[in-house]
This record gives sequence, C-alpha cells and structure tokens, in this order.
Amino acid sequence: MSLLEVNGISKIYRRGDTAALVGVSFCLEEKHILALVGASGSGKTTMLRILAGLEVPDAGEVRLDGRVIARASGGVAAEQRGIGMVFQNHALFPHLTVEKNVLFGVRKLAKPAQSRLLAELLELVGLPGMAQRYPHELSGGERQRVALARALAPGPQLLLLDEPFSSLDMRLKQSVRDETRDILRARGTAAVFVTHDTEDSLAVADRIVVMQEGRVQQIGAPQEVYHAPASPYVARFFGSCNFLPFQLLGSLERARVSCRVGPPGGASGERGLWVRPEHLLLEKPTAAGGLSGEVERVCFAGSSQRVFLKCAGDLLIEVSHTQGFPVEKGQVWGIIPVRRLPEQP
Amino acid sequence: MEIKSRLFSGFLFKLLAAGLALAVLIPLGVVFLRASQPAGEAWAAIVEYRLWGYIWQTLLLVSLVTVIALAVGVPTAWVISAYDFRGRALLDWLLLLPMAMPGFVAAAAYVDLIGALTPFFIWVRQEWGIDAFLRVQLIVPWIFATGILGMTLFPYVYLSCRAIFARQSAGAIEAARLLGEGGAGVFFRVALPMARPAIVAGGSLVVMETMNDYGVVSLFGLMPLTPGVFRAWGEGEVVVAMRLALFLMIFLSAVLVAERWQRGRRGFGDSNGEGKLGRTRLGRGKSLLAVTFCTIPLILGFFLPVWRLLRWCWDSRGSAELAGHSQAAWNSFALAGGTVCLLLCGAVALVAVQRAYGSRSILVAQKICLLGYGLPSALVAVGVGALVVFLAENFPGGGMLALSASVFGLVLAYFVRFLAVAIQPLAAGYDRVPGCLREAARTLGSGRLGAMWRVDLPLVRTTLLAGATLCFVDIFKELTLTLVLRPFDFETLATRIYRFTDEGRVADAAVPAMALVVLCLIGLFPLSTLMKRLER
Repeated sequence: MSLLEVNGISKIYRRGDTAALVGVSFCLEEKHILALVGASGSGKTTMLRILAGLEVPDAGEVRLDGRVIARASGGVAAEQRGIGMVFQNHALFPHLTVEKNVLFGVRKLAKPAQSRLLAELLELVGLPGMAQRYPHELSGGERQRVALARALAPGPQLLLLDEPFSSLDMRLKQSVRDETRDILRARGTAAVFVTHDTEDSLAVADRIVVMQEGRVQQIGAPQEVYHAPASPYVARFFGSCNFLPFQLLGSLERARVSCRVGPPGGASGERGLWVRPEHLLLEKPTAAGGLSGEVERVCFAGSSQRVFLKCAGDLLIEVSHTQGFPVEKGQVWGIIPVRRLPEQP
Repeated sequence: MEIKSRLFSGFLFKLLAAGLALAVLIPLGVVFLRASQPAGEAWAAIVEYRLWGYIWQTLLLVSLVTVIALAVGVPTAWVISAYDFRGRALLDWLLLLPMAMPGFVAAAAYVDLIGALTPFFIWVRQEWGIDAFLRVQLIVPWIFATGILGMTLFPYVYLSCRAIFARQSAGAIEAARLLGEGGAGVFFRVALPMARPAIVAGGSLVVMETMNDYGVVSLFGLMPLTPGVFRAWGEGEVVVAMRLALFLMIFLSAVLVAERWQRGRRGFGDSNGEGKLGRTRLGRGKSLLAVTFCTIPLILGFFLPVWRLLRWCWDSRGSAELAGHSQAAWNSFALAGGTVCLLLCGAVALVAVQRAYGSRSILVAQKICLLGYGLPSALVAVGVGALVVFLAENFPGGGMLALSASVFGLVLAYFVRFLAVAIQPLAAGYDRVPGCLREAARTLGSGRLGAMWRVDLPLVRTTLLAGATLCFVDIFKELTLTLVLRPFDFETLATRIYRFTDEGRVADAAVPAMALVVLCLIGLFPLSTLMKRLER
C-alpha cells in the first residue's frame, strides 16, 4: 500500500465553471519525493492545496496511510491531517522569532522537549544560533530553511512544498535545492512538491507527475519523462524538442536513429520522431540526400551553441552544437542523430 | 465529529453577523415603516411651505462647501507632493490639523464675528439701501457657514489626493516632465486627470459630512434638510421627519452611487510600485508663495479658532461651569469608551472571523454593516429615536427604564453609524496579511480561531487600535445623533459646546471646545500613521 493515494480528484471553480482538476490520480511511496510539474494554470497548486486540506475536492478521494483525508463531503480538517507544508513565499510569521516560528506547531510538547527539537532542527537546516532572529533579519535562503524546519517540527508523515525555490535567485537556488533534498532523504520524510521549473523536478524528484490544464499528462521517473515523453506537450515542456515527421526522414538511416519513436505530433497527428537538440549533430551535407538545412540563427549558450536550421517543408530544427567547429548563418549543414546513447552500466 | 463542531461554531458566527447586519438596518427599517404611515395635513403644509427651501438650501450648501474643499484640498496636495521648499514636511503634517476641528467648534469660535460686522451692515444700509442690507444679512451667514465647513473638511480631499499624487501617478508625472511639460502643465494634463478617483472619493466624504452637519448650519441659521428633519421631529411630526430623512437618504445615495460608479470605471490610478515622485526644488519667491498658499486655509480652519478659544479659556478661568464640564466629559468618555468596545467586537466578528472561515455570508453582512456609514445621521437619529419611543411606550417600567432605553438608543445609533469606521481599518490591515500565513498556521495544527488568535490578530493589532481611536474620537465629537437621542438632562462635551454657543455664551463653551480639539488631535496620530502604513 502506498503512503499517499490520490484517486480521481476533480475540482471545478464556480466562477465560469472552469475545471481546475479533472480526474487526477497518482500515488506516492514512503520516503519518496514526487514533483507536480506544469505551467501556471495547470492545476498543480490546487492539487497541493487539496492535499493540505486548504481546499475541498468536488470528486474523488485522497488517502494518507489508508485513511481517507479528503473527499467531496469534507474530510479531515487541515490542522488534523499531520501534513506539513512549505509555502511559496515561506509564509514565516513576521511577528515571531525563528524559535517561535519553528516551535509554532508543537506547542503541546513539554518545554525541554521543545528546546531539544529546536536545536536539532536548526542544526539540520544549518542555522544554529539564529533562534532569536526575526524573519526580516534573514536572507532568502535562510528563510527557506526556517520554513522547512518549521514544517518538519511536528514530524509530519508527508511534507508539501509549494514552489519552494521560486523566490530564490539562480545561484542560491541550486544549493538550497540540493540541501532540501538531502534533508528530506535524511529524515525519511515523503514529500510532494509543486514547481513550474522542470529542472527542479528532474533534479529532486523520484517521480514526476506532469500536469496540463487540470489533467495528468504523464507519470514517471525523471529519466522516463525526459527521454520518453508521453505527449508532444510533455516533450516540449521539458526543454526544446524537435519533431521530425517520418515522411521527411525517408532516407535517414534507421540504424543510426538513437531516439525512440515518440507520440504523434505535428498538426495533423502524423507520426515521427521527437529528438532533443543535444541528440543531434551537424555534419557535411551528403550527396545521399540525408536531412539537411540552412542555418538561420546561431545563439551562443555558454557550453554549446544553439543552431537553428531551416529544412525542407519549412521545418525549423534546433541542434545543440558542441563540436567546436564554427557554424555561421547561411551555411548548409547535414543533420544526423547522435549515434548511440551510452548503455546503462 | 470534528467537522460537526466546526460547522456549529461557523453557524454561530454567521448568526452573530446576521444580527449585526440587522442592527444596522433597524433605523432604516423603522424610517421606512413610519414614513409610509399617513401624515395628513402636516406633510402637505411642509411640501407647500418648506420642502423646496430645504432642498435648494441643501443643494447650495453642499455644492458651495464641496467647491471650497476641492479648491483648497487639491492644489495644496499638489504643492506638497510635487515641490520641495522650506517647511514642506511640517506643512504636510499641519494640513491635517483642521480635521481635529469639529465644524461646530469652529463655528463657536467664529459666530460672534457676525456681531462684529455690525458697522459693515450699517454702512451697507446707509450706502446701498434696505434691499442690499437685507440681502447682505442673508448672504453673510452663508459665507461663514460654507467657509467654516470648507476649511474644516478640505483635509479629506487633501489626504486622498496626497496619497495618489505622492505614489500612484509618480511614474506618469515624471514621464510628463521628461517630455518637457512644466509645473502647471503637468498638474492640469496629467496629475489632475489621474487623481480624479481620489478627488471624487475625498469630495464625496466632504458631501457626506456637510449633509450630516447640524451644528454649523443651525448656529448660522441655515435650514437645509438635516435641521429640517430635527425641526419636524421637535414639533412632534414624526412621519414628516421620517419622510424628510428619506429625502436626505436619496441625496446621499445618489452621491455614493456616483462615487461607486466612477470608481468602478477607473482603469487607472492603481500603482504597481512605480516609486516615489521626485520633488522639484522651489526658489525663494515661489517657496514663499507655496507656504502662504498652504498656510491660509490652515489659519482659517485651525489656528484662528484655536487662538480665539484659548483666549476665551483664559478669560473664563475660575468660572462656575467647571463641575458641569467635568460631568459632561465623563459622560462623553463613558459613552465613547463603551461603544468602542462594542464596535471592536463587532469589527472582529465581521472581519477577522470572516477571514478565518472564508465565509461568504459573513462577507455580505460585513458589506451591509459598511452601509451604515452612508446612512444620514438625521435618519439614524430619528429611526433609533422612534424605536426608543416605541420601546418606552410598549414596555413601560418607569423612569429608570426610559433612561436606559435612551442610552441604549444612543449606543445603537453610534454603533450603526460608526461600525464602518472600525471595520475599514481592520479590513485594510487584513488585506496586508498574506492569506498563506493563516494557512501555514493551520497546516501546523492551529484551528481556524486559533490561527486568527495567534497569527492574524497580532499582525493587525496596530490597525485595530487605530480604528478604535478613530471611532472613539468620532463618537466623542458626534453632535447630531447625541442632540436628538440623549436622555433628558444628559450632556456630553459636544452638546454642551453647542448649547453654550447657541445661548450666546461662547466664552463658556471655550473650555470644553478646547478639550474636544485636544482629544481630536490625539486621534490624528493613529490616522496619520494608518495612512503611512497603508501608503507603503
């Protein structure tokens, strides 16, 4: 039995009857981290708020440890679920010190136990000696860590994180992200986190649930979702992805194709290949008539160059060029797939 | 089970909110009920002889006072916002002072000046004849009354425009400057149109206050609708008073609807953190001009009356009225203090509990209670007055009950009229507390009321206190309601000031008047800090 089971959750907002969630189901094992990923308006935050008990679903049910905690007729009140939450802007209580913030949820604990817990948690998040500070005296990263410590203090079975890293700047984000994952792993706390940043989800989650317009598009491990997208939407959502219709690839050697045949794409639902730019190489155009195109634009992206080529049929293909030789606008290059992905060891 | 108890407590709070909304609607209901009863000849006589006079006097009074308040309030706000000169920061604060000068107190300080004009009247009589003399005698009280109301009410316009000039339109004003528009051009082409919502908002407050005024107009012998209502009430023509109060209500509703309508159409004026307006430094000559321009209304609306009152205070030292003054002051304190406690509970039940439960029905009740501020004072007074009479007649229990009935009526009337004053700062304070804090408290095991108690209320403490102070001062200086509803022989500072002034004993009125002004000054502090907090 999974720790968390979400079965057919639907939610309709009364204004304009737009459905926020349509029959969403997924489950989460103990000690695992699950990411709900989607663009804004995909319903991922609504889903999280239903898990927390801050909203009530219109259909379906949520079970935690076998017990029904949310269903259309109500369920367990938010304060009695034993689910912790880290909010998007951390939601630290501005009128309370770090100590009072962290201990907010464990008021009923004896004083000595409280101070032991405080010391342990501040040690865990790397903020010892900050207990008497107020939230406005902390940096963004420190606030995020206090929010995490506060949510962990009551010892929740499940931790929810709503866009926990979005308010941090790029450099800070990576370190806080890795720290958060290590802390969750160390405590063995299962977590669901919501993000619109695919990189966050790929780096932190054990499983990813991709959502679009209130529906689940795909559920899978990060590698699965990235390399074998279930739909064009998922393919594009996790970074640039080229769609190469089979009819254009007639002469492309099948043996050299290293990527999987993806879901139907394109305007008319034709079949073809979904290939990420880093799985394509440039080479001298061959007389044999492989896929080739004229360079339309070259963008420098640090470790690579993003080359956009215009191929037959107005098809624009992006290649992540890392081979070093110069590529300029107007040149004609052949495009071939990377020969073979390295096998799993 | 836990859900059941939660639903039950939610139900109780909804019941409470419904009761509060009902209380606010009571005066209106009573007035409607009584106004629909037959009035007989009395009403016909009023329609024939007085109604037209009431209406044109009301319209003239309101338009004159509004024009004066706008003509003073908007330019002063612009000068303070857009220019920098010596004394600017001080003037910025001083321009709020006239708010601490209740109209009837200023009137007390000015009313004897009409007597001082006698040589002028004689001169007119000799030079221009009897017609001119009569006309001047008619016009001069109007000049005084509208001038006094305008000079004490303009800070409403000043405040609302100041906020918008300083913050909201800063970006556009700076853009206009960079496009080569000069001072006056910026004012008329950019700042003024953009401040329109603020001008209308401040102006409608001025209109409301003017319509509700009883003290100033009756001291100068003007007869717009509000004194008209009380005259009919005093003559025992209850139904006539009710109908006149409804006329007042129609006027006021029209103003409020117009204000709402233009606010709804406003597609501009909201800031998105554009930053503060950079002020232009003025040279010596222009600085002097700016200071003079801002100081004249200050002198007329505050310093001159205060100076005259202080002088009379000094003259009347050792007067025999001190015991009466302190009794009246105690009455005022007890009434205002008690009502403020009730108002605070009401505001918490309507705002804090509403947010805690996210209840739509409590929100509706809250909106209804906000309407109370839009009810004319005269309507609330006669509505509650009729209710008290009804209670006293149908539940006779001797004089003691009659006294407590009218104290109850007075508290109910204050409650209805000022509940909005307590609600609005609290609601504004709540708007600044992110909802996620409440949710965070709940995921940490606090119940709805627990989260309200441990997180929300500590965070809105200052705005709650500011609202309480505003209510306290408003009740303290309320004259119109108190005059009608007070128990027999029961005086507050406000009614005492009015009575002495009316009897021509302005010197005796000076001490309570100064006490009232000082108290209102204390009330300005929370107001200005509230404005600053909301501005940020």
